[in-house]
Amino acid sequence: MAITQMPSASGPLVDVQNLSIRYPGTTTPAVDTVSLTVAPGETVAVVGESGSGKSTLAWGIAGLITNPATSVQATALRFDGHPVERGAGAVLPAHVPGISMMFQDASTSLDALWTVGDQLVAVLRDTFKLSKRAALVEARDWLHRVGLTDDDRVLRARPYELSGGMRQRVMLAIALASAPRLLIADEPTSALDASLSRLSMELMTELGRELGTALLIVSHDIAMCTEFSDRIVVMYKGRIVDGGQSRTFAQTAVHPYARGLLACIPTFEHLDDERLPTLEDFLPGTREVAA
Amino acid sequence: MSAGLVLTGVVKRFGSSRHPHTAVDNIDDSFSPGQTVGVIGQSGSGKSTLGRMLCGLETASSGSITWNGEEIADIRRSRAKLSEFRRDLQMIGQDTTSSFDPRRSLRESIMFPAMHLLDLSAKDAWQRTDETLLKLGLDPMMADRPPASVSGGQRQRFSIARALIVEPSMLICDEVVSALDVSVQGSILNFLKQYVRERGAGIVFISHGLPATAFVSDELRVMYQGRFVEQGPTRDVVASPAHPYTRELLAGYNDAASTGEARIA
Repeated sequence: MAITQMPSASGPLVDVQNLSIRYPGTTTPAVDTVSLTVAPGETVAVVGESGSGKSTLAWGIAGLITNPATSVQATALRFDGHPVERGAGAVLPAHVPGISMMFQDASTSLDALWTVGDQLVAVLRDTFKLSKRAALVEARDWLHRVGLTDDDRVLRARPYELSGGMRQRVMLAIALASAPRLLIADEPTSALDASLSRLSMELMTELGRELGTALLIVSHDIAMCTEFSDRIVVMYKGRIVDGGQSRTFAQTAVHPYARGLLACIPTFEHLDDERLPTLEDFLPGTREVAA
Repeated sequence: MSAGLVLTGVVKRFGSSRHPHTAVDNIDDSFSPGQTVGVIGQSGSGKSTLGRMLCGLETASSGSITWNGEEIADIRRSRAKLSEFRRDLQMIGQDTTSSFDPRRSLRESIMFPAMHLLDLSAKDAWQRTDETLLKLGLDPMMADRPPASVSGGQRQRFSIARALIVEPSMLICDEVVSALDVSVQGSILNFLKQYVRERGAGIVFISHGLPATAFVSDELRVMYQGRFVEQGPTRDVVASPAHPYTRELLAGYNDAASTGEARIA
């Protein structure tokens, strides 16, 4: 599918107003009247625990919720000024042109039977109608941009022949190769180790800035998000409960849940402690968000 | 006979003879009940391979690993001995999605070791499952659901319940909290620390997350390219790292920790 890069209006790239998503057979909505905007080129991090609805929100924005039994309601759910099509009931979700998505598990989102080169070339040819040869040149270029300098080997490799960190880089290359206006990254680094995930977050935000791609990062890692995003929103039980500029969020956070999350970041301060602080210390009476 | 796990010259190679890759390179060490040891290192340092060998899921290319004086390779050959070994030593992994049978309820998966390793009747195993789940702060009702229907943090607690239901004296934990939210991490680490202390059990806590590892472990091993490049009491390693790689690892955290602190303050 061709990506038509439309000059966007001055409005937000993503405009979500009062979005509620309820899975079949559940009584509480996974996403509960959430409003969120993302400006072109902005990096927004959605932070919350497992079960807080942050991934569901991201999937809703990307139009990936295809089960017709799942209720999706919003007063506005627009990308680049156009309503996001749900593709309800389709076997494969509709692709919203201009949105790329990246997931936590690179090993399952890459096709195990295709070489990395073929997958990257397919995206480039599909998007820009390039010849095979031209696409291959571009593919090499993309591998270099994501820091995979051993391009000959990587192009010929199948995903399982690469390490987790390399696969994640390949995913980033594939996600950005179609020149999306928005990259939604759902827990992009949680399968990587600490140093690798920092590097990969750096790479992602740097490339995003360079290409003018807006990033919507969904993560449980509040420490990393305050560092690598422009703006942070905190989700709790399906709702956005707090948010602000990332740089100052630690000072400006008011919701006990957000403050609790910030305090739960393990540090060496707790080395001699009997126990680590948990969220219950900040939100008495709550255990954990239900699944 | 030496209690616990004793490793002598353990080497693990992968790949072909033409392109061998040495994941674990000549490790001598011992881990015993009562000891809490953290193994830290980056991905690819060989720490998970080491963990899998300690559980008998992977055989060493050379060298020996013994449990209470007996070669793990020999233990694996005897069904009775293997059952006993599994009662004593349990592993908890990172990937909870693949560690549960998707066709069974969580309860069935947790009851399985109780019935087959402890020879409990289904009724007793059911009862014990409930007790174990309650201790971990889990609702036993939730256990009747399939694994895919609970969140990652909850599934990890269920996998801990499955390991702890046999009350092992040794736990091998491979990145157990790495995929979880910071808030859930705290309660799981608190629980593991408490379990180990109360039972006098041992733990080998494999992780790349340094502060979390340091919290659980009295001793640290820093793994780099298949070798332990530094080892010692956690406090000493954190306070005065000797190896450049350890210093590098710590530097990242100290930066993050200090800025994090500044932010929280």
